[in-house]
Amino acid sequence: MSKGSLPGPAGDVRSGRAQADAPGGRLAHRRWRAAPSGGTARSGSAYRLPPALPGLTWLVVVGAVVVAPWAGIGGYWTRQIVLIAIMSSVVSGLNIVFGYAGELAVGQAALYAVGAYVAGYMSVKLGVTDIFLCLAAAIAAVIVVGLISGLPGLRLGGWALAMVTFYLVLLIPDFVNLLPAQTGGAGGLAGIPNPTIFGAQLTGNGLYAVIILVTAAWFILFRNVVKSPYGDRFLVLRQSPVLMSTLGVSVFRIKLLAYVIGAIPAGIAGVFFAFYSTFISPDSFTFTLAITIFAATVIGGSRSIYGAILGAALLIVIPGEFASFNEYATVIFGGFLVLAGVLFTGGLADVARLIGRRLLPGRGNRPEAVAATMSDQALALPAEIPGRELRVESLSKSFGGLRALRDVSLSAAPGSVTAIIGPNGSGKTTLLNVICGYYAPTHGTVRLGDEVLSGRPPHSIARAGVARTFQTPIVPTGMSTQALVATGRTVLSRAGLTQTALRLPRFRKARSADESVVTGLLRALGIDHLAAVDVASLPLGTRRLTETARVLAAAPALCLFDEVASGVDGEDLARLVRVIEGMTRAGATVVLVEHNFPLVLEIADTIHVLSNGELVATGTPSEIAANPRVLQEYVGVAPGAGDDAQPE
Amino acid sequence: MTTVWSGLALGSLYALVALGYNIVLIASGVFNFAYAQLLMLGVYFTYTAEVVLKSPLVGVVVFSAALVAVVAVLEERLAIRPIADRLGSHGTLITTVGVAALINGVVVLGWGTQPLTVPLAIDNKPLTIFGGTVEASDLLLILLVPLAAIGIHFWNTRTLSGLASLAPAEDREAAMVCGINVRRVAIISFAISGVIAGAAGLLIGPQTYADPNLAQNLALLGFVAVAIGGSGHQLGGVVGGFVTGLAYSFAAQYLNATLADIFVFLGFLLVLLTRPHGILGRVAERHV
Amino acid sequence: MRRVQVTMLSLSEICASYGDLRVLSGVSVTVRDGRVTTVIGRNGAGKTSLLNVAIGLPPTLNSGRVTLADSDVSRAQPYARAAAGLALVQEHKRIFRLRSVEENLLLGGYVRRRRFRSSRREMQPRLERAYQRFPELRDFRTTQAGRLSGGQQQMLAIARALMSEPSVLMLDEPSAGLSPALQKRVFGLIAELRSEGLAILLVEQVIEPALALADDVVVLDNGRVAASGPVSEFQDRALVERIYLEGDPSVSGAASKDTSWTVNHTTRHGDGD
Repeated sequence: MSKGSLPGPAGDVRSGRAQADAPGGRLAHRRWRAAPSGGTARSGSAYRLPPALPGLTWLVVVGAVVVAPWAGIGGYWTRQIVLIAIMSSVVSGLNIVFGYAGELAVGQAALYAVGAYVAGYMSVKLGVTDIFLCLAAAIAAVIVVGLISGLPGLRLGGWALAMVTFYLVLLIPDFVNLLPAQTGGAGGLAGIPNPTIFGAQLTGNGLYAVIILVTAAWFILFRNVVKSPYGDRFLVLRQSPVLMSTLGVSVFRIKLLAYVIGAIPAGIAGVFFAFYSTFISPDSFTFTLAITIFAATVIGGSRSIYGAILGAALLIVIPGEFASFNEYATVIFGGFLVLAGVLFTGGLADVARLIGRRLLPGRGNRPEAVAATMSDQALALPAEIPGRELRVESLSKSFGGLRALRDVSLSAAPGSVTAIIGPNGSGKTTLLNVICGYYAPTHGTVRLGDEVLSGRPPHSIARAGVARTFQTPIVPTGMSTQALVATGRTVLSRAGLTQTALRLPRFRKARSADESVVTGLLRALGIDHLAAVDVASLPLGTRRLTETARVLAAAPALCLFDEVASGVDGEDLARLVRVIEGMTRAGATVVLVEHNFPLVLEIADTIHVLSNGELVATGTPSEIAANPRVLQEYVGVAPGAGDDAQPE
Repeated sequence: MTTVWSGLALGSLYALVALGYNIVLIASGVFNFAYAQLLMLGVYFTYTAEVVLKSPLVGVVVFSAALVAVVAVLEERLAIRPIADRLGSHGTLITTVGVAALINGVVVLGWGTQPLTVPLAIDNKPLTIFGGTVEASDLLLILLVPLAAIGIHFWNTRTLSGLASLAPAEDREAAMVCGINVRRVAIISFAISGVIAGAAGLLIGPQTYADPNLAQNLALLGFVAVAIGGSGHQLGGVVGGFVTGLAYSFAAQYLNATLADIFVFLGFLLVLLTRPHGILGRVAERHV
Repeated sequence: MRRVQVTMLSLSEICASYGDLRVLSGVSVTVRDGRVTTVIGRNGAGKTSLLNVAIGLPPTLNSGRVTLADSDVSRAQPYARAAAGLALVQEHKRIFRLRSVEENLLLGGYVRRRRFRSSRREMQPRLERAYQRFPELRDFRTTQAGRLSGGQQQMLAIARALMSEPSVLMLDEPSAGLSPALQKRVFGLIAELRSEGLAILLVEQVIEPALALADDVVVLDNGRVAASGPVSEFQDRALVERIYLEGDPSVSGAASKDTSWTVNHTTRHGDGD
């Protein structure tokens, strides 16, 4: 949870963004508490790229379902299956927005209604029955509605978004009443004709087949997006917007993207509903429906692909089977929601996975063997890293009455290690955050090469080539080491959403290029045997190595390491040192913000010392080590020591 | 002027919901989506006490307030506290929506789907004030809700325990270190919000009837009130409620009912876009 | 200052972790009346975790005991420990930024309120004492705490902790971000409190003044105690600096006739336990 997503009392004085978002913040510990233990990761892009088509099983199942009516399953079950298919689409949209991206945009019912009414209007009032046209129009309509209602809610996020989207559902009757001629008003729109495909009418089983096939196609696309770097990005977004902007993606834009993607299946489902039931009215789209959809997401498992189908099936079949169930329906749904929220957050899909893990003992690696083993082979880092010079000029930063940085000027050259050290409270973390764009400076500028960085948002700075690690490594749950390192490549991403969804050649090329880079980096850092392991189960030292690999994956112009040695020593530290040295040999600009004096003395080329927000010394390690003022500020050895702290 | 009065009467309902939202938000940092359902429950309990049990006035209020308070505390203990730490607003959305649905379902099971008339406890002749007519019970509500908000506000700012109930939402750990029992603060805030919801049943019942569909509208428009006033600001929420009610009333009068709904929604969107911290948000910052 | 009970804080064999991540292993620290126990160590050594475990905040206590004045509080909630006389000045000057200075102080004294009918007025004498010790806060009593300077915020944090008249005071890097003059003031204040009989647990990163103030010293490294003992055993400042800065206390032939000084080698490998 992040405090920032709740509309709480006016925010912290420190920054425009919620304090919880600042890296190194105390809420960082919360991420550790949520970490599951051991086990293989469920992240989108696993060690091996899954094939685009989910395989023979799927084709068989879909095929069977399609031909079922002709095989004689009867009208009742045909109808049930259509409803399940339609509902699954709607629920899957909510899965993307709520489960993956973590946004509380829960008004799928409203978008569903939009799709239905567009189809109804076009076919009844305009006489357009071509199913592709109706689908296209509905998709366009829901995207527009989704954007309009999403934009204001996204600015606040959290509850505001939930409320705006719920509100939309309540307004459906009003919008319908506004244009009674077009929508049939409160009485509903009856007599929706059969849709046509390439001119031929689709009736009964034909319509059924089309619905099933389109739904199946949507799920394939859905799956392709989820099990790809895009899916990983959504995972990151949900758990750490800070990491997201560090990867060069505007949090705002990707949220909007998730919202739009989630709207599409709802629109499609609405079209099918309209054609299948031939009658729609505001009563078909109630608040209860909205809650039912929400319940289906939660119960099925909001982060699962097939959970959508499972949840939808449960919520359609069970009430259908037990007639008296309807009276208890809301109570049961409500109870389920509460239970699901309290007991298992991943819904039934997670329960299934848990059972699977118990039954199959081979899966799930306990981290005994995860201490990274020292690799004997020479460090095979990229031959060339395009480092550029960092220049900080007269930088000042104040938070209310707190002057965290006063007129600090320093620089870091490519091919060298520059350390910024100072005691806690000296402002070095603030300096790091200003460079990365989490805070705008009060005065002064930050330049990278000839680009000005200061004043730009964090994702823009990341795109300029700045990559960083965090004092507490940010490791989202549910991701493998390989996937996390691969997210570093987001900044260089060449494959768009469409290419990803359709698994077009450009996506495959980009994917294999990424894979080889990532594998190479993992091997270079000696952690390639951990590639498929859930990164949240790794010990601290290995997490830092993973983060370092993530930084390297971005081929960065500037590498910022935030207290990379903290809590780490022995072999892990030696390895980190080797990596850093290798990086500088390859031309990277490495900046270490550090507290660890001897490490800095050992590997830095230039050291800048901060104290109380001011730069008090700059020089080579030997100069700094001999500087009495540094020792005093840093370690507290006062000249003429002893008197100051005596009582009386 | 009658439009003004009806706007204020409507607004007092929204202000009441905002009040309930804010009490819990300020004390525990949790947004209780199911508060409107608690209000609805209060109306139903009031109905039962008056019509079925035929209790005297005081008995009705006590009965209703106590029962809703119990439900509210149960909600906090079972559906909110277990997950608020782990999952934050993501989780509490799920569970409070779940509780809302639960209460809705229980109400239908217990009292049926037909709206029930809640008898008036006081003589409700329409009064003419400032050239507009308003019913006595509405007037009472219009006066009492701001009074309650002011009372709570003073409690928060003037008393030690009130101050202590503000701290957890700002910094839960620091509050714990100061010796504040944050769990108890959360429970008490839920209980108080429940008491208010239950006691209010007597006043809002006559206006709204005991109707299972009551809660949805209230829930959303109460949130609009909170958004306008700035979340976490008691006085702001009340003002926001009245503003919303008035806006609705005037829009319904001069446009029509359908457009009024949409008008309020658009206004809501506008506020979120332009002043995300609420119109009064910044000003009221120091006073809560 | 009136103290009602014999006071001592004892943390014994503390093992604590955040989920899977072990942050403290077998740490034991004792804090006595009228004495300052100083804990030093690099970032990531577990100093803050130690204080958090003492007050009852995360990390989770896996094993070990926290004893406050002869009663085992390992399972007690933070508010109960505060009521029993344990106060913590958290790092990063954690005050309530949206509240005024005076409100912050009142919240600090909350734990000493009257059982029934507590009021702000009853806190007045306590407030007065706080303003006497920290005169600069009086001038800012109605100012929103977030608007104070860093030094003032730190003073406020300490003043707030003292409002509860604790028997054990824990401070987490109170000198961080302060000018040398203010640091001196803080350490002087701690010495004063010690002479008033308070038991003090001080976590610091600036070695020299912290050691000058200390009666007992504990050096933490990677979640374990690397060295501990009375400050007299730590006279060799160069040794201490080496332990602190280099973090590998392969100290040989140290003056270890006194058995209270224990030096442990820290080994580092994926602690999968």
